[in-house]
Amino acid sequence: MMKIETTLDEDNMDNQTGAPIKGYLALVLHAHLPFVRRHEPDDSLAAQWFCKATAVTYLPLIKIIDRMVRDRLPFRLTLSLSPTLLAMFSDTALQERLSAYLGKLAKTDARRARELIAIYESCSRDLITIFKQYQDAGYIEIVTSAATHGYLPLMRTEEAVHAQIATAVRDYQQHFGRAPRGIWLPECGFTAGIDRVAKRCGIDYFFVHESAVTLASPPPQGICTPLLTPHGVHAFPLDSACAAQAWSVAGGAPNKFRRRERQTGSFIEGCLKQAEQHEQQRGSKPILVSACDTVRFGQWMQDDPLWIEALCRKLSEEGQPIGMITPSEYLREYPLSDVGSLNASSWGRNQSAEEWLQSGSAWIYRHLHQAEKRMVELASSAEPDSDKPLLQRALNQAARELMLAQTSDWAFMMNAGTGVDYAVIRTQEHLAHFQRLSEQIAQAQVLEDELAALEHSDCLFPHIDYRDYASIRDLSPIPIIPDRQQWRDLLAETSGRPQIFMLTWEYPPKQVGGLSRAVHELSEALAAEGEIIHVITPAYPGAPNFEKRNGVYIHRLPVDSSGDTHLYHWTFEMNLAMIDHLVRWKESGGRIDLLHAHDWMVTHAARELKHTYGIPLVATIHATEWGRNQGHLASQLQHNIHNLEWRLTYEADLVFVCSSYMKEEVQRIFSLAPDKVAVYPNGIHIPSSTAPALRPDYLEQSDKVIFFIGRLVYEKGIQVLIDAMPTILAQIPEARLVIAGSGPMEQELRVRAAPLGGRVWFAGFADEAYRQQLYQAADVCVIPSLYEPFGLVALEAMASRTPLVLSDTGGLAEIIRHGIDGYKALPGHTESLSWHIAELLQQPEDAARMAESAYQTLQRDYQWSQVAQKMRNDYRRF
Amino acid sequence: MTVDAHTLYVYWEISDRRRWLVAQHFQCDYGDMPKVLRVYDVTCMFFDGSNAHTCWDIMPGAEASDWYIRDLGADRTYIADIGTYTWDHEFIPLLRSNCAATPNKAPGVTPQLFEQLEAYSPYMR
Repeated sequence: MMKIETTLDEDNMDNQTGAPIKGYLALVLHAHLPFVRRHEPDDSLAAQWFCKATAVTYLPLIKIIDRMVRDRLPFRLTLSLSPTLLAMFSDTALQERLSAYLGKLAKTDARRARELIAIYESCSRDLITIFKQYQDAGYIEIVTSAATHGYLPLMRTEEAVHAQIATAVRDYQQHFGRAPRGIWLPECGFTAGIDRVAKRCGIDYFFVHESAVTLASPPPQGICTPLLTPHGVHAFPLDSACAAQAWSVAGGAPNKFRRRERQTGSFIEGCLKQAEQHEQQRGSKPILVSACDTVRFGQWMQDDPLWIEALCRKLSEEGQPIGMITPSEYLREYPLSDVGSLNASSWGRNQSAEEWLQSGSAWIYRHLHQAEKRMVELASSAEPDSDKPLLQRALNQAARELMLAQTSDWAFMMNAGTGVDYAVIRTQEHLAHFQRLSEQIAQAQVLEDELAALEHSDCLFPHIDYRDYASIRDLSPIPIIPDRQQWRDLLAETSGRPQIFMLTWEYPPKQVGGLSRAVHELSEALAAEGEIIHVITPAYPGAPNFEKRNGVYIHRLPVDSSGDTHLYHWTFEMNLAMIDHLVRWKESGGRIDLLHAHDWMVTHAARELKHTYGIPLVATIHATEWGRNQGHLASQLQHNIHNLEWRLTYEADLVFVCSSYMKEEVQRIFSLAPDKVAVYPNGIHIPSSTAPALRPDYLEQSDKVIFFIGRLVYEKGIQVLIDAMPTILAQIPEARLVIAGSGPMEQELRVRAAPLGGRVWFAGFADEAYRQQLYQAADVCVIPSLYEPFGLVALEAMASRTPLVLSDTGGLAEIIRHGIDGYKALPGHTESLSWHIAELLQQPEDAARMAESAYQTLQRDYQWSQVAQKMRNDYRRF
Repeated sequence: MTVDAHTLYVYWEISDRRRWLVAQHFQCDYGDMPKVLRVYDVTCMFFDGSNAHTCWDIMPGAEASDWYIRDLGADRTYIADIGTYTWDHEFIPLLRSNCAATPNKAPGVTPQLFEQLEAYSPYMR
């Protein structure tokens, strides 16, 4: 066994005579080979590579290092040994294969074979220990690389990047007895975030292509110096000028020795020129990092290791202005560097990822990414149970298979067109093994024989830990409830009880029509009765995506939309978002016991969820397209909406409507059986006490206020009311019509009302408080609707004890009794309307009496608590 | 996924459920719907679906499940939607991607070229 005698002192940094050093050279040799599986035949590609590379590179390298150590030269080398290579060095079966290979080599090149066998045997076939000794003695620094040399920037999850680096670090510690300070990123592939993951694993530095530093932001002061990333890891830029010279194909000079001499001479000159060009302002000496992939050894020059030796010897001579150094030593001397964000890059063609992401290999990534996510799920949900060793072994082996599939060599080969079949087979087989293992793990039924066979064949990283794949941010499975604890609490507080999901396209604070308010009050009334209600509605700017309000769980879902989309298609996008959310909810263990859909907009979502999970469906039809258009469906859009309404009522197990009028309507137009439709009037919250509100200042004390509030659309009949005004004004000149609300008809109505001048006042959109003011200031509230499934405004007026005149139409007519709670006028009939309004204004005592009676009716029949109680009984049927 | 300073790679998979829903809503065979890839430049902004710096549409073909988006600007951030068009040529996204950023690239425009462009200004007298 070779032994290294002494460690070097630190003072041997400068050359012996003390002449000043102009700069440093760090020579980095990157050594990586993809893992050879046990069962592969001797002539498989990977097995061949391993034997050849050991014969051509690693054994000769050991020889020259040994020679330089014996001669006490002050050389330094940085060696990157990938974990798969280390695994193969320490595998006894491969050691046997190598011996056999060298034996065969003796038949063709006896002298060389003898040399190599001699080196191999003198290390007792343990190359790792030799390298370790060199490192401990201070001659070389060994850095690690990603576990299976996966190309990190093309990985999908941070967990996968972390697992590759953490496994490598742990493996390095096992072999070399200390933590690695540096890492060779595979292919120098860097993207933002990799430094953070590396730091987390204890790495202090890595290497990047020059352009990562020259294009960093802010632009660096100098380039022959490491850049510190914001996460505290040093990035050493690879010097391209020297590298090009050193590792390029040499000409065909007859005398190998001469060529080497000339090359080392010109190389050193090149380094010196670089160093002088980049004199650092801060007084730190420049460092040139020259790196080579040892895979290239033997391709052009059989004697690359000899070239390294020649270079080292030359630099060790007296008076040499360039000193050799390792990155760690450099950082010890200059611990501070400029800070900047590195540019994403690699040392591949165009400094890009194209050699690993091209038509030959692009197909693998969706499978690798899916496997990554699966592994993260498995690792995060596995309990750290030590009495399930089989499961743990399976998880670890799954991690190995995934990492082996991620080896960057496979993608490279597929795109380069060499060894494509082998690369494809390796990728597919490792992914297939991973797939099988993940299925067995998910079902907790691991087949031990299969597992043992895989462990035998893909036997690397004995200390692998699947928990490196555990989710870094402990997120819940539901995107709008990111905090896992909040999700768990939600499941806990609703467990064991049935949960009702209301699907609605609007909910406060979004309020376009009356639907928002109706669903809001219904949901809160039901929650007050003890039901668990979830409202599923689209997101609204400023409102939280998930909250519990007055006992109701509100889910506001972001909808993926592009630009200004027509409402009809936007509702489809909304349905996609609802479906995605509810499917994820169910699959993550949430309960949905009943779906309650409101109106046609949510038909797709209601139907899809009902059919996928067999959930009972109840639908409330608040209004119909047919009714809104008085039975004339003209455009394609109206037909589509009508169809969706029909479909919803068809799919629903029960249909709720708000009035007998509506029950008759939907039964007729949708051909529904009478016992499928139930009437639930909308309710109202009667305020316990109404504080007297200020009279709006535009109203004179003497004005007799006629009040309308509602959406300014045709079916609300405001135009009839305006037409009725002249007759009213003739009898009651102090009458004043106040119109509150907004809508598409506003302009037209203003034009219509213009001749009446100041006797008609448009108050605009009225919020809660303003509405109260107006109801209290009003002497009569008028609802002249032409089509009204219900008429929530009527209830509001009754709650404020405002005398009421409404159209005798639809659901509106069912609310009051004519002459007892108020007056009912003929719909669309200006004279009937004006007569009743004038009556009320001229008989204030009758008006007050009817308003009081209306209030009693309200209390008796229209409280939300009653509605909710009755509705619960219907829910119970499911 | 980032390929290089001017190229991104995107892959997608539309689930059976989504295909079924699209067919239901548009009342048309899924295979007959146009497949559209919309790319948004969302550098340094909070994207809400309608406020990208620029966006443009690519038609990858009915069978495609991946695409290389080329001729992009360096040092920019992009999002892609895979979706379809309505009869009125409105774009409906079916899936929205993650953000991907292109790295910086050394500028290749020389001063002379810039002056040449100025020579063809429409405001010249």
